[in-house]
Amino acid sequence: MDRFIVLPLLIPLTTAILAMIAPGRVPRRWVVRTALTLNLAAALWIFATILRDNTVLVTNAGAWPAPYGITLAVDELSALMLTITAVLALGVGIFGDITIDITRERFGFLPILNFMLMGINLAFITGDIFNLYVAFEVMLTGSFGLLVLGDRDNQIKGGIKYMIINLMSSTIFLLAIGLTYGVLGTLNMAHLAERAADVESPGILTILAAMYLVGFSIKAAAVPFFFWLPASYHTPPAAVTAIFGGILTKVGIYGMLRVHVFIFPNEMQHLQWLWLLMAGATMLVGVTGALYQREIRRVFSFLIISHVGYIMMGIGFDSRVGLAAAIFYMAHHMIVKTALFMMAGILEGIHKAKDLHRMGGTVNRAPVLSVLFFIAAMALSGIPPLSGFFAKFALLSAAFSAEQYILGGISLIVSLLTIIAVYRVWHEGFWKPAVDHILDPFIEEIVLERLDNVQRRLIVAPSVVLVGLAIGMGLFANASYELADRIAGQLLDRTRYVDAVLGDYQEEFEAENTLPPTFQVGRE
Amino acid sequence: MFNWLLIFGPMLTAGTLAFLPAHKRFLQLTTLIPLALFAGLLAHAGDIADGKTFRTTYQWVDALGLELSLVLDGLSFLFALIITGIGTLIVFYTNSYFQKDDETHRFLIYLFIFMSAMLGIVLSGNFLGMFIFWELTTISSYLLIGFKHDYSVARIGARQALIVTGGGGLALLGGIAMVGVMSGGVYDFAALDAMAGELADHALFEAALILIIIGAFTKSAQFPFHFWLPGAMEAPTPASSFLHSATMVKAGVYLLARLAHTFGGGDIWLYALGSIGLFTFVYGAFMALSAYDLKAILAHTTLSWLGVLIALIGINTKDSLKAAMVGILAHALYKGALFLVVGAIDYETGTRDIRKLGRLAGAMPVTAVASALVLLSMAGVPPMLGFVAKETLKVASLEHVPDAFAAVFPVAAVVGSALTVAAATMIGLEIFLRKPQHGEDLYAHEAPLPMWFGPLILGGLSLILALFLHQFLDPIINPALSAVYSDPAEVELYLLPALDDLAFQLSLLSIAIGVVIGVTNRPLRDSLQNKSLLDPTHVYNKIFGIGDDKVDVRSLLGQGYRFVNRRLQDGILRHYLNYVFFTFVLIMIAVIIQVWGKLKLPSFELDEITLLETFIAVIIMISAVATTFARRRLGAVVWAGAAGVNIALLFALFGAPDLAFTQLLIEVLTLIFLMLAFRLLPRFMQDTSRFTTFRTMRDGVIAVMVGLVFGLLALLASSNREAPPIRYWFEENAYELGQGHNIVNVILVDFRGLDTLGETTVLVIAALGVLALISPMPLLDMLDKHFKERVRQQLEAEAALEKDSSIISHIYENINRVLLAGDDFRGDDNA
Repeated sequence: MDRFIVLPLLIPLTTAILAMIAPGRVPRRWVVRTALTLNLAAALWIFATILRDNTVLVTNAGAWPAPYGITLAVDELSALMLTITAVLALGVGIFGDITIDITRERFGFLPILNFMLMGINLAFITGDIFNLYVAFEVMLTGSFGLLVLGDRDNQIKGGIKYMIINLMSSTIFLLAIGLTYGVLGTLNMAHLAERAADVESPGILTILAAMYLVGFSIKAAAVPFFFWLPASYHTPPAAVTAIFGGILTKVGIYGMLRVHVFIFPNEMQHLQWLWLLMAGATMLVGVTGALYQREIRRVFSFLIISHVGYIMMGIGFDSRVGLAAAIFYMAHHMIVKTALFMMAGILEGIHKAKDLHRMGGTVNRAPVLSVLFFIAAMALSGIPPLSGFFAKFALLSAAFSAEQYILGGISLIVSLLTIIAVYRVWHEGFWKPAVDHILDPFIEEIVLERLDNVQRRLIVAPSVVLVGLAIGMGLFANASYELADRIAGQLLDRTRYVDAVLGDYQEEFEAENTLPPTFQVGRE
Repeated sequence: MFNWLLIFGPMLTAGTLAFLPAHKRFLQLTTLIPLALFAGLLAHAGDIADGKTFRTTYQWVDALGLELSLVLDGLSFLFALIITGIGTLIVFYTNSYFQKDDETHRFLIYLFIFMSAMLGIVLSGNFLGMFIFWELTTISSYLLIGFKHDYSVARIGARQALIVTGGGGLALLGGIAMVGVMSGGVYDFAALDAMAGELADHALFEAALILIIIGAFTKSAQFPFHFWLPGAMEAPTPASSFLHSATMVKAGVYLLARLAHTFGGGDIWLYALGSIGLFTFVYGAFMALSAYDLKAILAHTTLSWLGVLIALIGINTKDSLKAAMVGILAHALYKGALFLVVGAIDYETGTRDIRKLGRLAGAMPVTAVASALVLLSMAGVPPMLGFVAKETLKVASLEHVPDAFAAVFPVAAVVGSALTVAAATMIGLEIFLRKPQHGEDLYAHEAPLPMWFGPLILGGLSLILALFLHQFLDPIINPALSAVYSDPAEVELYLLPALDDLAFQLSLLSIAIGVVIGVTNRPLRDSLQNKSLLDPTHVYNKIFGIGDDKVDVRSLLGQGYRFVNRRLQDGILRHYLNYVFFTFVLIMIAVIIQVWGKLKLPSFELDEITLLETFIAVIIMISAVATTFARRRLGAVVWAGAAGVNIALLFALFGAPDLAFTQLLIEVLTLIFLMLAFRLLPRFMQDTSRFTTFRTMRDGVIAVMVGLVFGLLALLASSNREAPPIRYWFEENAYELGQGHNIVNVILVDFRGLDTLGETTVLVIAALGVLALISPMPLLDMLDKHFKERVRQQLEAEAALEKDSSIISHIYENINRVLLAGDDFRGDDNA
């Protein structure tokens, strides 16, 4: 049964290929929709299995034994990420295949989307750190493809910044992997975790952990590595921004959780100053940058950064409470942000403008969308009883329990600024009277007039579902928080994962190999 | 069960309304909902008077200590009566207030959400649970203030209220979280009260208390957070009446009353509540006399009265709490009614400007009678409820007051009361009796029944409750007092005091002064000209900016925004890279220093390095530096190629011929493709003016530092090995299990085939992307044979280009092999 965990790789890969050869627009759409549904089903099945059996699903690629081959392993954290990603991918897939223009679709929007999804899923599934790097590359190339698809000037400009800064991340990440292999002699995550636990925090592991932190921080758009995100996220079509905003930075966060919390837990305390410094700066800079942006998507892009700071703060507390809060926050943020970006896209379509100055009167023109947006905005700004509030409060409690009052205070201030930034969008986009404006001939937004009634409903439907999830996460906060707490617990308790991956490998190795004398270089 | 109904009844009504069409019938029927709840509450009156409490609990989030426990005790009962009772009249009133059914519909939805939330606040037995409702009242208040959102003043007022009360809410949340830390995750009011002593000894106690007080002050519009309340008068009048005078603004008062027994022992409590409350009392009443807008006048008198309530809770004696309880009820009745009257007047005459209004008593007799009743109550004239309230206030100001306030309190009480009387006198005179100050008499006639019905009922209640003090008032006030005082408590209320009673004399004094000021108010108002003294609005504007349509560069937030978007996110990639690299280097240096003592330092003999290696290394360095100084593109390409080829040489030298070969191929291909692309590229370095010496130096320093740190890291990693590598297994098993002599190949295609699959995918995506970038031709509808062929060629060409020039595959190709084959791998692929 364990080997079914390759489904989240195989389904998108197959879909991407099928989507390339599918004859015509309609069949292609249905192929992708079916596949994304299957992907969601697979993710749910994996998640349910893991929760039911309280186990880690492990399979070795090519049946090469761990730690030599590449191990694929899914624990609660991976399963959660897979599931949320699958939900978002299905939603954005439907939203995207309707709203994306015909040229972009012809040039491979759906195949690239699926390739990217494969990369993302691989990142969550893999139990090998070099393979994680490969997954990042697939994701990065895929996202770059989606970003520049359409070949508009600003897309290219944003895309280049995106690509180059992210390549820096890859370089640092790769270098860190190389040095890790040099120091610990293995690439398998479980094996690394075990070996890292054996050594009594030698300085070199702290250095490695710091390198990984920088690498992942670039991916997660933390300050001062965030520049690629606001430079690029507003340029592609809304569907692309939606999937980016929901998932991409969170893959970086996943990397942090996997590497820092799981593999190098002993280094957290040595690097806590760095975590918390970056977290505080990220929260503040992100939200400040969002305050007066003229385009909705730019507002939400900056807010992504700010909320990455929140998550990093939770991880940085190095406590189970903080970790659970961070995981809860991450799940909440993925769902809500994707919904908001999709709605921003529809809003741009309604007003034929990206600029908030040219919008207005939406509450009268699109009441349902307005209500949805308002609820999502409430969730994002942490107003109870929605998901964001519990995430925020859990983090705040964690901060005070860890006696980090300054960060707790910053998180409260940032929360107020988030409210200001989000409700400014509400005022400008929805409340103020409609503005007559000259249509910008170069703007290419969703053309709502071209859609039939079913399609118009279909592009709102994903947002409805996601907002429903945000409400559900709040109303059933007990279940959702306990789940986050359980995931945090499993991540901190590494033995189960290590045992599941390495099995009886241990004794064999110790018997055959000892540290060869050539490794005794150094001072002594 | 009834508790649940109280919370969810209005909420469900709102939900149902949202799905129903805006039909008059439905809307009118909704009056019955709060009425039913009010009746249900009255049915509990007997039990409450007997000191019973009704408790229902639902565990919401165990891990966070959040439970939805609803407790109906004396204090909740008092507030719930006000909320549902006045709520009934408001809903009734609303049905004839708006011109369009659509507006009534939307308004009622917001109003019912608010009603649920407000009932939630007063019923919650859990601090954290209460906060959830607290925030919901903030949001519904925001929606109601911005109800007429087409007008920018409404949006600005809504924003102001949201920022102030929302910010206060966050302070409160901080306080609650600290309470949670102190109590070990307990938020239940009763449980907290039981551990009051421990809490007071905790180091966080003061901080938590201050945060909670800030939360309460913002909500209850205390100086200096009061300015949002006059701004909130943009809301439709029924909302002003309900939220911004009768109920929501009392949430802060309620919270402080609820916590008085648990937190009310210390100096912070006394001084913060006492001084701010009394100041606001006098200040608000004074500012009321300067305003032109009737609603602004009422708003100022409201925050004034809230001030005295808060001061009373701050004093925290049995007398003062009693005065607070009576004051809450009396104020809700008369002030709620006054707002409704103002709404009716606005409805009939089209203005709220006190200078334009006058002599309406004849035109609107019923409204005038109702107003007279409530104004008398507001002024505290016997035998109205307001008098009882003022009287208890005077008593409280004289008896058992802590020394610090013993002198101040009676004075403030008299001055504040006098100013309130003045405001009441002024309102009555200017609207109903005197000629308008400006212009002619306005044409008006009596308001429709729902608009005068409410004020009349409330005015009547102000009279009846006072007349039948012991029958009606005691059973409501005494349980509330017991709940606050946490101890069965009774203080006698009386309507007719002895003439020689000092409190009574003070009351008479304040009435006398007040009437004089009220009659002669016009000169004062004209001299103040609607200006606000001690107005914190400009501080607010300095921080948050006025509106939100554009950047307000004079505000703190505007400055911050400009800093992030002009200085940090300035759009120049080289700056971004500088930040990234420089921070990376800084972090790595800091961490290396941090752990320096634990590191094994690399040690190597100089004579281990051969002359050839040194030579190659120098060439690589020279080439790298020269690349950056190249003035022509061709030069840059050649120098970069030189560095690459020499790296290939190093690979060969260290026993990795296949790696060297790959590297060489890549270098050659890169060179060829760059040459091919040359004619398509723009001129190289057209604008050299940007390369100032400083910038070049800075970039150079960062570049050198990055190189040094990378080198140092590699050296440190090689000298700090902690465990043997797994590569021996590959050496042993490549042939046996993988059936291949070339270990690298076996690893790439078999042992770690998944990596290769991933990288292949990268190439496919890159090809798709490049194709989309450069070709105007449809990729996927390849029905035309001719197109098909061209696409295939292009795909191949692009794939090759991407593969060879992309930094990813470049680095990957190299490092993947180095990593897995081991750094001292001898490349014996034909063994």
